[in-house]
Amino acid sequence: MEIGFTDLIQGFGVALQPHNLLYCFIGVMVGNLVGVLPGMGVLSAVSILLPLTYGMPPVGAILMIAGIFYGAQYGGAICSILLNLPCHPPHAVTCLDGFPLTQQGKGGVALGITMIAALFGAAFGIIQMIFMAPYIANIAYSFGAAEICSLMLVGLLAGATLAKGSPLKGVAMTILGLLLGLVGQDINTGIERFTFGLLDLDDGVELVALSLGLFGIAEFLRSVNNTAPINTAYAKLRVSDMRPSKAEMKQAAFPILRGTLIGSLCSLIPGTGPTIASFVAYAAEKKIAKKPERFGRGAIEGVASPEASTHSSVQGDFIPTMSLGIPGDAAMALLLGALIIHGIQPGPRLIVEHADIFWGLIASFWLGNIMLIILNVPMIGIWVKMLMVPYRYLYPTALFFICIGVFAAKNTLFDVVMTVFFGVFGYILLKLRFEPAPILLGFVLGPRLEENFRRSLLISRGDLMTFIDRPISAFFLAVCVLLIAMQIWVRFKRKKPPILIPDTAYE
Amino acid sequence: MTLRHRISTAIAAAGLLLLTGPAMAQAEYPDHPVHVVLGFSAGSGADILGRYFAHQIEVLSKQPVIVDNKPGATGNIALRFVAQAKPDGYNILFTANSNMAGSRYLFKDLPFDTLKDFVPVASFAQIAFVVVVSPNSPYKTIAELTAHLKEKKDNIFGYTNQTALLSGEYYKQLAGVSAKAVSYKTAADAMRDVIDSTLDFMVMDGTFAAGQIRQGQLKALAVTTAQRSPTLKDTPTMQEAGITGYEFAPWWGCYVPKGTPQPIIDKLSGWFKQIAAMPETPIFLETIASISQDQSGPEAAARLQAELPKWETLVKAAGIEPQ
Amino acid sequence: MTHAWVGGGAGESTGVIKPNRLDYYAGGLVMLLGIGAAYTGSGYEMGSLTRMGPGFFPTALGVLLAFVGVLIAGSASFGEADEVHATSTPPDWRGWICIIAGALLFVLFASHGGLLLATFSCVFVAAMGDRTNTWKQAALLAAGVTVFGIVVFAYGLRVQIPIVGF
Repeated sequence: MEIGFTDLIQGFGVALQPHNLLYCFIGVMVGNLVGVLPGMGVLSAVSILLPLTYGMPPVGAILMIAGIFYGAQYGGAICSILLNLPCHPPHAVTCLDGFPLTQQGKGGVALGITMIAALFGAAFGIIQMIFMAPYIANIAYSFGAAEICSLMLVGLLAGATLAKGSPLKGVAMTILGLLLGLVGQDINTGIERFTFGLLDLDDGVELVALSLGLFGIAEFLRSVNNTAPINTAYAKLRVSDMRPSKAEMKQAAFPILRGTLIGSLCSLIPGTGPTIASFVAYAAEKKIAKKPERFGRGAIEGVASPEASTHSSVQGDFIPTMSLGIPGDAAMALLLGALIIHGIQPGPRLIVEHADIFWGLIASFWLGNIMLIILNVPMIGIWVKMLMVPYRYLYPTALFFICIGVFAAKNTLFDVVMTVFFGVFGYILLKLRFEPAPILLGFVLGPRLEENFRRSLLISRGDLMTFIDRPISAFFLAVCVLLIAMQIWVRFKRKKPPILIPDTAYE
Repeated sequence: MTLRHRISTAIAAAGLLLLTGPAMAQAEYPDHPVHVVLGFSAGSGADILGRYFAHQIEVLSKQPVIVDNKPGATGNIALRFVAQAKPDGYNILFTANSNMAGSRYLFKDLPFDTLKDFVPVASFAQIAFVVVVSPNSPYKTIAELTAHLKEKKDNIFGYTNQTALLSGEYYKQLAGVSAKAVSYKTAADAMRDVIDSTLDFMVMDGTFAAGQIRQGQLKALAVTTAQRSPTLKDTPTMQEAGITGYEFAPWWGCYVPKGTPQPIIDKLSGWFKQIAAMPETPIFLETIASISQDQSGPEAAARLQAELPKWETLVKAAGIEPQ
Repeated sequence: MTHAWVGGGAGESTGVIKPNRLDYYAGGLVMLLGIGAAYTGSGYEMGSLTRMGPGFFPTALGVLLAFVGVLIAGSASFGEADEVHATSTPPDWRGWICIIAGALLFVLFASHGGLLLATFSCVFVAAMGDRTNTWKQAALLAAGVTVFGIVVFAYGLRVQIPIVGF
């Protein structure tokens, strides 16, 4: 590839200019802080801060906004691991094993692993961005409706067994999530489904409201006046004691690698953001584990893989956004808007026409991620101290953060009411021993599954063979069959779950 | 302060208000921040557009102007909010004609009446939709596309929102061709299907399409506006391309709740006139593939009225059942 | 379908293994949700394979969900009456009501009163849900969170709620 290191060095020249460095720092700082607050996702943070950048120089503005994106990912896992609060949908799945680790006194270790996974995932995403950008078009454009549909099916099948406990209940929760995803205006016909005449439900259920209700408020309802005291002795540990041991590192190494690969694949497929990436990574890790029953009880892999996946996906998401003008998710669409407002047209010629922005951005990714590590590693000790706050002070505070965070996502109080509703509903589910995690998976994948299924059939004029005729789609369907066959096999064997599907499934 | 005291002060204040009357109100508006309500999320094309005008109003009115993004229900949440707001000029709505004219036929039970509950203040921008095909497509003009669509059966075209869908339906109607509509959430989602000619054509928002067209990722056949778009100077209008009488495109207006005092409306519409006259306005609008427009409130109202039958027939033709 | 469930339940309860009652409720709830979704979904247009209507997915998913509900209730009777659950703690109405009321007060005051009042009342009422918190502690906590919340959200992030307002 002819564009190479000279460009990158030039990029560092741009990113290292003091004011750009400062903008990048502000971006990652704000992102990091916002990421820690429940519900205050990247989307709301960027929407709030975007107007402030309108008067800034374009390079600085883009570096800053980009910084908010990946900075937020660093903060997102903290509440998931320490408080069992999915501040941020991509990190919801990190709760499943992160919080049990905290309960066992290994919260600091889990955070340490998260940082390593984050850096690795991000680094891979950036390298991918440097070398892959010219080839992205081919990959992105080989995923049409049929392919995306089949891929979503793989995600759903893999994910139905996401949570611990009865697989049947997991399936029920996944379907429930799919149904919740259908709420709102049908994009093909505009018909309102399951909105009960409420205008506010036209755009569907807000993901943040759903996840903070099911995981946040439901948990408060369960734990109020009824907390098992968490062992806080370890909260007094020094930073050096939180460093993951060699054995833990070894355990996490391959999950990080696999998570990274899954995340980078997801980033290449338009419309498949970090939330899907992290769920798929977790599900895959659980599927191939020798002892899947360890998951949900504090498996370090269950933290490492989805975290790596999120970070590599977030960095990778910049590729289609910048080089094709195709945003991976709503947050990236905002970045696209920011580029346009600064008179920069994203697209294949961006790398050539605005080399300073493209390479400056890549260079700033390196700098920003390093800043984030420097910011966050010493902070682990402080975050862990959060656990020493008695629960009776913690939950009212968290409740407020949830309320305002959910409000800020769309500036509507209706969503806060929804959060309360899902909190009560989630509590009932918990009482009936359902695990709510698969609801989120179904909710995230469902609308895309339906949309693409219907679109495939429209495009193929009703021919179902379209899913088999297209090789990529056929491959994913084969994986689905394999997954189902495995499930049946395990059920009949009922002994040790065998080592299953190779990594190539997510090639 | 005793109660009697208070009452007498209130009476005195009221008397003062009566004396100074409307002149005073006019001089005072706005004396605190004005909220511009937008039915679109921050960072969207509509938001970028709205914020430019909000910023200029801030400069002219010397009061902070705050943009409230209230996305949801294709903008209806924002409309409901403004319809129920106090008619004092401090909550003003920027929205597109699809909300004001189209939604009457697209929705059944809206908690407001777009014609009766709002007063148009100005129409300030026009956005072009573009009919695009793959860069590898053999068709270079609308006429060629029409001929192809007449010949082939089972045609499909893509769209991203109701206005784009109806633009496509309008073309079908006037050209006498048939094609099934395929919906996409965003124009970006549809890129692949346009490029590999899965879709026979697509009606796309000019804001997104302009860049792709300039970079050769898409081929533009026509814009749906009455005049050419300055961003896409070489692309003919539908009318020029042979679809006689075609004009269908989103335009942006400013609205206030019914009952807003006329002096406030006049003041607002005066600002829009001033903004339209600024040399930077058309330049800014060009970057987002839009055209500056300077229509007064009554003109905007008349335009809405004139558009109603078109919306009604197109919604019916598209087979959309009002919700 | 309700019929099938009642029948299955009654039949199995005579078996040797004591049925897990929790799973009956769980299955029942899932089934009800499924039937509800399928019923509502069937009200929307089904469409054809080429142009699938908005009713197809909800109906199919609803039926599937109801079926899974039957399976859950059914499998309850087949044993795995696993560890008797400690989840059956007595209802804690005070905690529940205070938490829910706290969140709803936030909604009320955020639209009529402003962020200051919304934050304080939300945190204060929620904190009163804990039996060990005193009035004073709750008020102190609420005041602290309010100050922090206003600095961060009103000044820092410019959240669209006035600090004090109508």
